[in-house]
Amino acid sequence: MERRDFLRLGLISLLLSLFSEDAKAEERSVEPLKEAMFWRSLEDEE
Amino acid sequence: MGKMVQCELCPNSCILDLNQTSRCRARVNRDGKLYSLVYGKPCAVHVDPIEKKPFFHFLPGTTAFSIATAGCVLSCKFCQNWQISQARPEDTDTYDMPPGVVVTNAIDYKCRSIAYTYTEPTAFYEYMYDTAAMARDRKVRNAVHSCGYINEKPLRKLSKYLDAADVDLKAFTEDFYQRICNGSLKPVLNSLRVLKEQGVWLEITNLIIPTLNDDMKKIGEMSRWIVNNLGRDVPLHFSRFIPHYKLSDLPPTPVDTLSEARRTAMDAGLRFVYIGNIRHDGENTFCPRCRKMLIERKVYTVVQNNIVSGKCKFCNTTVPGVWS
Repeated sequence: MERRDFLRLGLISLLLSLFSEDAKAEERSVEPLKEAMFWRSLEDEE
Repeated sequence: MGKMVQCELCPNSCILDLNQTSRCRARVNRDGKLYSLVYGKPCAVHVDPIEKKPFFHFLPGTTAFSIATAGCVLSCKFCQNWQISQARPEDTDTYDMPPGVVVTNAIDYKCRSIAYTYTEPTAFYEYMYDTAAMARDRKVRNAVHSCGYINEKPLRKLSKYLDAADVDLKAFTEDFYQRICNGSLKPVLNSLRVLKEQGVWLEITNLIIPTLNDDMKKIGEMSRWIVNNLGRDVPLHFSRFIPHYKLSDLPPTPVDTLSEARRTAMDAGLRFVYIGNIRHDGENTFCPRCRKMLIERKVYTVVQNNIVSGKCKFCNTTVPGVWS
């Protein structure tokens, strides 16, 4: 492969990466848990 | 201390670090907040005769839409439903059934009540509470079968939607509760008093286990406590033990023991004492005045009912209970 071909390949890769979008994982809806009744936080204690 | 929380639902008072689950397995600390893991996810759903709970003075001959999720606040060595009561929610097969769907199902299946049963309903308190509130709006009754191991505040809050409660009084000693159930007796007695005070129709079940809680002296003591604290009209069910789970080495309860317990409780002043888990004359209701048979039952089926408008049809004596 000649030097010119390397440069061409590099340029194409650069252009492709500039205009591509990140692939996103399919998002599944996860049912939120129900907050419990009758509990207390111990965060502020001690 | 980070984001630790303390559950205040039952006397276990679990203190939970991040992502830790409660002893009942149904609650988890996520990022410093406590969540229910079983809301809207019952693992048992059945249409049962109300007599199966057992309720003998509450809408006899009707069916109850019965639900349970995984989890229990106790760990009794004789548990009849240990496969789900002692399981983690993720280890059970569940239905997606939010409260509104439970109530609609109950109506569609022509059930007069919803029963929160099989495992310990305290473990699915939020689910039960929301379902019970919706059921009340749609004129469906709420009946709970519980071990009564719950703190007073949540019990009082729930009581306003409860129509009936059957509480397991598993024995009348602290030692039994500690050794066999990993709990304690005192909160259960308090729950019984609270339910009575709140006007919830109350029945009590006592499973008699040979060698562990079959002392007639204690059974007499328990019966007198019921008479003095809850009244003589609270039905008491003595249930036959069948070898099971961690107590499979013990024999079934002899019929004579059940009969003797029934006599002891009636001598103590209780007017409605039943025998369950076995075919016996003690599964029928008799008029406390004229002694005629009021309700004849065969296993969970009502064969005849001679209570009319809450009264004995032979002598017109009022019979305590919820009859319509």
